[in-house]
Amino acid sequence: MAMPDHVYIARNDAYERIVAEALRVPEHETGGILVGRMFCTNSANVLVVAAASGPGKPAPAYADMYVPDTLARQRELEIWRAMFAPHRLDYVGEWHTHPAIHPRPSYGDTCQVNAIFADTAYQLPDGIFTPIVIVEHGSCRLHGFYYPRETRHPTAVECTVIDSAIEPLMRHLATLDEGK
Amino acid sequence: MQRTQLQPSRWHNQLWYQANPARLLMERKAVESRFPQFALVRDGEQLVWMGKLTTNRGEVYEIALYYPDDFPISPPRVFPIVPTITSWKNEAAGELKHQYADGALCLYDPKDRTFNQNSTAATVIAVAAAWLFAYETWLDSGEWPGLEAD
Amino acid sequence: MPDDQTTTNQSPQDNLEDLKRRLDSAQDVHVDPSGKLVTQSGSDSGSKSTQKKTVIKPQRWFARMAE
Repeated sequence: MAMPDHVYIARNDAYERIVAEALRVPEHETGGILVGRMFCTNSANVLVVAAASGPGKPAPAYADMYVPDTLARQRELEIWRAMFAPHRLDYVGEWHTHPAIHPRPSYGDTCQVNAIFADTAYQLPDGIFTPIVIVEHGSCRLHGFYYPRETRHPTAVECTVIDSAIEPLMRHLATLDEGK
Repeated sequence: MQRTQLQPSRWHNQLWYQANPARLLMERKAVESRFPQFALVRDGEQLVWMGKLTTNRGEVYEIALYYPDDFPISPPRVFPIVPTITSWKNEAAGELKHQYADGALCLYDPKDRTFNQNSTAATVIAVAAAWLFAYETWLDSGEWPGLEAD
Repeated sequence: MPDDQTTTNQSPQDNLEDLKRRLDSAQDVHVDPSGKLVTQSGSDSGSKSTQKKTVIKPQRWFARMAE
């Protein structure tokens, strides 16, 4: 499958949580999981990110590395899946912060993505969404990148924050989704 | 429906040469042995090899090879510095011949796997030398020798 | 085409001229036997880290910023 043509990010449960976490620790690298689903319609591939987490409270903080707490994030993933049960959401990727001078995924990030692709514990048949979040002068910017499984190369994607509830969008896309 | 089970992970923002010093050493050895006239400099956080190549026609070109942030996942990019070459295929339309819009040389089709993760900057410099030969041939004859992707 | 091409509105000639000017003041560096980068001359200038990069600018789409 190709890249998503659009990425929609829910404001309340995803975007605002990303911003809050990134601004909480601007001097350290932080991040979290992204929960959502890829919808494949006959006109476009649409990735919806319904929720985002933080790193998990026990996660250590580093300036140049983000090492999340796995168990805490797995718990959160289960919670979000339960909350959005009718929509069959799952892990779709990972966001993390970078310094402003590195607004792209790093070599180390690509190595981590390749490790994820190689691990059958991850249900990512198409690819992984890995936005990079920059905190500069007290504000946040999100740079969307998607690694298609075929190319394993980070490619920029258009992202839109959805202010309204995300569920009607997902219900609509589900009616158009082909084969899933 | 199968569900994802998260595994331990870590995400870096180290520069490629900080995360992979062995690779940096390998790059240094490869370039110094094949192109000793090249020097390593730093432009901000990016590493750049700079040096001169002389073609069979005796023309001298200074080029700059930039390592990308995610090297060796992505290949280095080569820019003609002295002289600054712009090989127009159609200047009115803004189309360059085997150059990208920012002036970087188009050295290979990304799909043909000419560059792989084991390819060093020395290999890329050699390909740039071949580009310069082809460029001069094109200037003389109007024909670009070899296979063309565009 | 690679997605790391610059999307600047500059002509290629202008971009190359800019690059040349920056490289005229680039720092020489060496790689020590352990693969560590060693700056050859001068102090570690903090201003270098704010220089713009040459190979940047994939498409950037900014989510609206929270106030």
